[in-house]
Amino acid sequence: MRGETSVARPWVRRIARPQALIGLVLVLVLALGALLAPLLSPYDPLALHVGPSLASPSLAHWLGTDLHGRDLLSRLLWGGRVSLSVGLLSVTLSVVLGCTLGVVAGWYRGVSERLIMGATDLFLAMPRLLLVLAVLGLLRLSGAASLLAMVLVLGGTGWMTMARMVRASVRTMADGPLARAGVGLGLPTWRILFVHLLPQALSPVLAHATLNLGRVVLVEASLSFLGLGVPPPTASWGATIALGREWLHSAWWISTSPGLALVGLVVGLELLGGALRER
Amino acid sequence: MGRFLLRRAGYAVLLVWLVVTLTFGLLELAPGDASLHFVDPDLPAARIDILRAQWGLDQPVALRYLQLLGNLARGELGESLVHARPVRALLLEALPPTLQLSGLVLLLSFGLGVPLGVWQAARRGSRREHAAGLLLLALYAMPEFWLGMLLIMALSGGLAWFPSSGLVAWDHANMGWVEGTGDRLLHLVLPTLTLLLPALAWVARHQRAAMLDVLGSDYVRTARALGLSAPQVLFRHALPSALVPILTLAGVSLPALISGSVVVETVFAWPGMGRLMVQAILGRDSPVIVACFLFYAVLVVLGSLAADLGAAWLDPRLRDGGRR
Repeated sequence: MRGETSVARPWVRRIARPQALIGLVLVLVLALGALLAPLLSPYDPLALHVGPSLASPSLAHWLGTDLHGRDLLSRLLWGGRVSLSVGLLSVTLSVVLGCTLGVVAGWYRGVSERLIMGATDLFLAMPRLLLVLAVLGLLRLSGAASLLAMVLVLGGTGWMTMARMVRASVRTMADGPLARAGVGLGLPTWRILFVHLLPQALSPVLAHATLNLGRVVLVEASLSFLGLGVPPPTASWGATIALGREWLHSAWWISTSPGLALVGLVVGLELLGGALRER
Repeated sequence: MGRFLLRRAGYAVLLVWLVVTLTFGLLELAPGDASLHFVDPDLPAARIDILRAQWGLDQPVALRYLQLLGNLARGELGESLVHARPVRALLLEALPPTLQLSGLVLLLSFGLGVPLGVWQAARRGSRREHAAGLLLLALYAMPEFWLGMLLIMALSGGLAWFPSSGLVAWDHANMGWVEGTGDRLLHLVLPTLTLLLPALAWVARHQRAAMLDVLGSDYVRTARALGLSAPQVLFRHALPSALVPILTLAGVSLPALISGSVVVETVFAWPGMGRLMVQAILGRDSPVIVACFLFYAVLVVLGSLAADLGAAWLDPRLRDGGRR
């Protein structure tokens, strides 16, 4: 049954291009750094005065220290956990929402399609950052709750393009042999939709999700930069950049490394997503 | 066309209403009300009750919601709780700097990004295009606040070419006309660059994709087969079709630009809408928050309407709602 619509290049071969490989390496290095932060980081990211205050990069502190003498390499590794977990969770939510709504709109047509597509247009018009800003800024949640709210809002505002993609491919497949065979065999509708049709439409969606992950990571960093992300003692890239803002001219290293990590992660995801999108 | 406009207008009202309702809901959900934030807690309870009554906080939620909708419909934005000034005046003050900045960025990013994308599509696969693509990708991936700081470090701190914060220098009032204008322009450079570079990369990427799409189509192949020159095919036949999606992009780029300006205005202490809003949110100045969100919703609606009209003008098939 598989590969009945268009034959896409297997993903292994799509990955095996120099650009995609660079992207993969960038993402893997940063992701592993975040994942293995407890093992890799030389110091406790929250511990104060593990080194001198505002020390420039040295052998003892590869990326230097901040005003409170915290080790910046450790904070970089731990900060990646915040960015990646918020990003991955909210993009997963977006994918689930987008696929479900897209499948429903593409299969059932009629009123449900109109409603879903209308909602898609509406959500597309909302400035994402402002929405998250309002929710987090007004509700002033504490630690875990603010993370959850961020995931919910970012995930809840990132599904629209994916819903459109899924709807378009389900629509074309709805009259195709795959769907008719399923109906003829008397399979339940949900099985036809989610087991047989959806996987066919998934490849461009996953490529888009990869690209989306980069944007979400940037929004999370912006929020932390504005002081509305994860609350202070926790390490996050955006917050470290904000901290370095006051020492731009005297301690350039504070905001340089988290900024480079952000750019590296987003570039990596872009290269990877771009390669996945091409056939 | 009439039906199209009517539908769009309905849509616009719906969106604006939703945004206002959402904002009101968030303000209601937020713990405590204005009396907790703006009143000395040592005042006798009776005095606080009087203030609450003055602000209408003693009314039921539903009534306050309807009052808000009524006031907004009549164009009354109320008074800021923090600044004790009419919200309208605050908006009018913050609007010009933001419009200046986003207008300039919008103009430059499309003015430069479109030719760049066309060039990239025409020279696809060449070494130079590859290099340009990588550079644009890096720009696209840059968080605006970090880019702004890098620029401050390099061009304001290191080289001291441009000022890094505010609209004008502190001694702007003493300057002559020429000097004053120069001062304004100098202050515009860094925030504009910060917003421009990622936006430029974004526009070029979309223009490149749209152009490649069109260049692969049958009619372009036909035009080439008929022996038309390369520039003729590119500019006369391919470009107009490739501009349609970009026009839509220009309309919807307003929200993105605004989101970016929120952060950039904070970095550069630019007294515009973005900073007004961040400060209102942090200071819980509910009338200002509602007004800001209302303003953004209206801007978004106008932007997408303008994009649709522009697309209909460029592409006749879209004019009767795609019925042909």
